[in-house]
Amino acid sequence: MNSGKIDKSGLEKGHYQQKAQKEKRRLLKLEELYDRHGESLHRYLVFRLGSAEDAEDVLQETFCRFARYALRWRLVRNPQAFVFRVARNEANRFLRRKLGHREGEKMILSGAATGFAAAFVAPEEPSLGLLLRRAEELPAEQKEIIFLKVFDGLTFKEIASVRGISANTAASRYRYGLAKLREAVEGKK
Amino acid sequence: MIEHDAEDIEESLKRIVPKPAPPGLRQRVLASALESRKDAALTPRMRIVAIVCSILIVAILGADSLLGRHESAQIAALLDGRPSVRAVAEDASDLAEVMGGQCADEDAVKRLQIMAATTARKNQERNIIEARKGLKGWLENESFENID
Repeated sequence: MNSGKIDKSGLEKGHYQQKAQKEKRRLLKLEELYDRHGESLHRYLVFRLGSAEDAEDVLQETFCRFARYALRWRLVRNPQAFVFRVARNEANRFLRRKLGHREGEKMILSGAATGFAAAFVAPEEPSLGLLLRRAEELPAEQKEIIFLKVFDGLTFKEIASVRGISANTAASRYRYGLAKLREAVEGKK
Repeated sequence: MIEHDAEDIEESLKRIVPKPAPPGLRQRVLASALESRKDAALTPRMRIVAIVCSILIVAILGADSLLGRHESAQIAALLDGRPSVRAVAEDASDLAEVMGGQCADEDAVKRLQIMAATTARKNQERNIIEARKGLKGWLENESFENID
């Protein structure tokens, strides 16, 4: 009788240990995900929204979404493109919520909030400062593709998946952007 | 001064330093993510069960309507194009619906169904009587014997 009780409590203990381990694994997964992409997603969101506070809110929302996507993660083939896409969609949702649907949509299309200045420290070197200013003047879609390619190291295929365009379009916008930057900087020299 | 040719522009851009993330961001983000997971209405397993159940329901409904269609086609083939009793009953309920609030209760529908069935039966009887009359005439032409 006594040994039975011991066995039962032992089983319960084992069950709780298993549950705790499972929870720990889940936590680790989220932590791993943050360690891999958290900082770069934050920087991307600051770039997209032009505000560190808004970026933090959206990053929290994004990770809440990741936490609920336990099943979907198994189907994701390219996690890097996926996390950026989810973050981008969440940023768009945030803008629509904050500004109202129509204004938010306008803001998303024009990319008026998008900018390097909020995400980067103003460089002390004048040539870099000039480059940053010229980069700021590029059309929003070119700016975004340059950002994702140069600072996050995404491939054109991944950028295409994030933006919902073709890889060729992403590549040509990138080249146009860089050519414009070169022209602007050389012209100034 | 930097030489800005095509590849150097990339390199120069990479030299721009990003702003650091605010302190404690990692903890705040992970805490809110875990909180939202706890608040989730369905666990992943429950979600699988819900998806499977909804697929089953849709499959059953689809199969049911398909079987029903097949069955009514079979009945129509057996009746050789004549309207079935089911069609008469349907007409009765349609009539009750058209009449709306006045006769929409169950009793009224039943009464109408009985009336419709009686009418259908009377029609059948009339057809049989007419057929017999025709037959009688034919027999009279063929023979002088009184069949009654």
